[in-house]
Amino acid sequence: MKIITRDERLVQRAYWMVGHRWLAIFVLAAFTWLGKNIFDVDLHEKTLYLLAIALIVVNLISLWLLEFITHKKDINLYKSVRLVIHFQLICDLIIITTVLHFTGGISNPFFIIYISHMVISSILLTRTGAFIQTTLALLLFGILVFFEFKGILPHYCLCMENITNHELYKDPYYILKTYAVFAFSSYILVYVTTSIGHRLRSQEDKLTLALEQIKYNEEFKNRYLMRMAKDVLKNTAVTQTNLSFINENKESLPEKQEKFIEISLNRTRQITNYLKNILYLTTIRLNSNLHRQVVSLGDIIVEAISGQYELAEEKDLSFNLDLDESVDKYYANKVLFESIFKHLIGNAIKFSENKGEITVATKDKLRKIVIEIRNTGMGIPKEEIRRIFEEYYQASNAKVKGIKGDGIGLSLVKEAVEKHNGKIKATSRPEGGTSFVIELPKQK
Amino acid sequence: MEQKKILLVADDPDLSFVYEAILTSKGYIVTATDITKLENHIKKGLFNLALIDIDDDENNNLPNVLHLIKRTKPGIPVISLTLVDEISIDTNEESHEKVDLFLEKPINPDSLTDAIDDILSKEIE
Repeated sequence: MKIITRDERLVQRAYWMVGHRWLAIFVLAAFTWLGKNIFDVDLHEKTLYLLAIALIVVNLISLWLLEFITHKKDINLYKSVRLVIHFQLICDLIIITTVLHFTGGISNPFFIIYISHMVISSILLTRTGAFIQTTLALLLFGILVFFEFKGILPHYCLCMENITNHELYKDPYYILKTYAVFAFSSYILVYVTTSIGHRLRSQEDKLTLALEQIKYNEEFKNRYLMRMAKDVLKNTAVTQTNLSFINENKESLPEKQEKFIEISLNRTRQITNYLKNILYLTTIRLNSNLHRQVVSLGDIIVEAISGQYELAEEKDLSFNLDLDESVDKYYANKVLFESIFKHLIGNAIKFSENKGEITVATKDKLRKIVIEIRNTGMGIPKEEIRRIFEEYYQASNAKVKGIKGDGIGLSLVKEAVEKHNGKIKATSRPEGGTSFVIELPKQK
Repeated sequence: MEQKKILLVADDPDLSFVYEAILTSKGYIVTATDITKLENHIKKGLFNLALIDIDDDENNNLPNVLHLIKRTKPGIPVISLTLVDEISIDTNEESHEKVDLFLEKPINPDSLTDAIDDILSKEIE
């Protein structure tokens, strides 16, 4: 899980503003065209298109500034992004006021659009910043209305007969009433929005802190587990090597002792495998970089089968290999790939009934390599299939049949596949047969 | 046939003991040492192969041992015994370059001698 910091959140929101401005540019251009060509409104078409271009310029400058800031080191990202947001909002307000001037001034209900910027500034800026932006918006709007009223600036009407009262800009009572209500509502709105925004931001910060703590705890747990598994494994490795050495020279031992050695060796191997899986899993989780090399999928699959052939032979299982040569080579971590196939083929063998069939197929599928490992063994109940990749989860019917596992294998497989940007899914029919499908991105 | 000489470097005396027992039982001449006496041994002796079992821990012992062996005897093949092939998982490229073969512990005696024979036969070719 990726934790988004306060700074990253603000950067995302600044980009969000840029994205929505593209939409606003389109809407302004489209309305101008529709107003002029469809509704026959007397618009200053060229000026409005020029203002749309001005918005494009603002967006491009904002994008450049954001790119520059986010790639620059030794900079207070939070403060810098806030300045860019202020810049965007100020430019927007100037352009909105100009658009209003050319589309009827106070007689155009479009002036309500200022509200959207007040809300945005309340969410993205501090309370003071939001109030400054709101005051600026009201000031610009006030100057426009006053100048048009006094005739300092010409008034451009929207000129749609019977729809708009063209003389409203001259009516002092209407201007005062509208402006006062608008200003009062704006400040109330900003106060309420900044209060809510502040609470949400504080919740967001708490959540980020909690997530960081979870991440730290998870890392601590993995380091602890890795250390513990390593320490125990060091000792079991000595014991297992000793037992293997004695076992190879067992002819010199009395028969009963030979059996003791065999049992001890088997049990030590089980512990070792379990610890190795923990060590693999924690190593994958703690390492962002993997050592990669070109591996042959075919070789790894064949090796995984031959390493576990004894049990397959005992069950009289048959293998069906359908390997596509064109996708044989893959740039991957060899150890993890060996582990993926060792576990999946091992499970296919373990959960197969006698005389069953195991199919391993690799296919080239557009931009993916698809690998399927399928058996004809006992299925997994439908409601349990999505849980089988969880650590220490074992399907209920496997428990009933007394099939043992360390409960880590499939979690390890999933994480190893994901570490190679792949996906794994399992499908099963309750009456029998389970299939694991791995999808890996094709490499050049 | 000439007996091959193995330089065994292990930081666990118990493991060193069992590796030595395995290798001598298969007819190799083994010089076992720990890290502290390695420099002395490697300068004095002639070896066909170095077998190392050193923890790749925070003390940087493994890279130091590999560096010392490759600096003193550049041509000598090296087998490194690792606990769960962790070096092959992460990106310790330097160790990869200096080691001819990584073997995962616990070691099966036959696998160990097969691996040594395999590397030594390649050296002769």
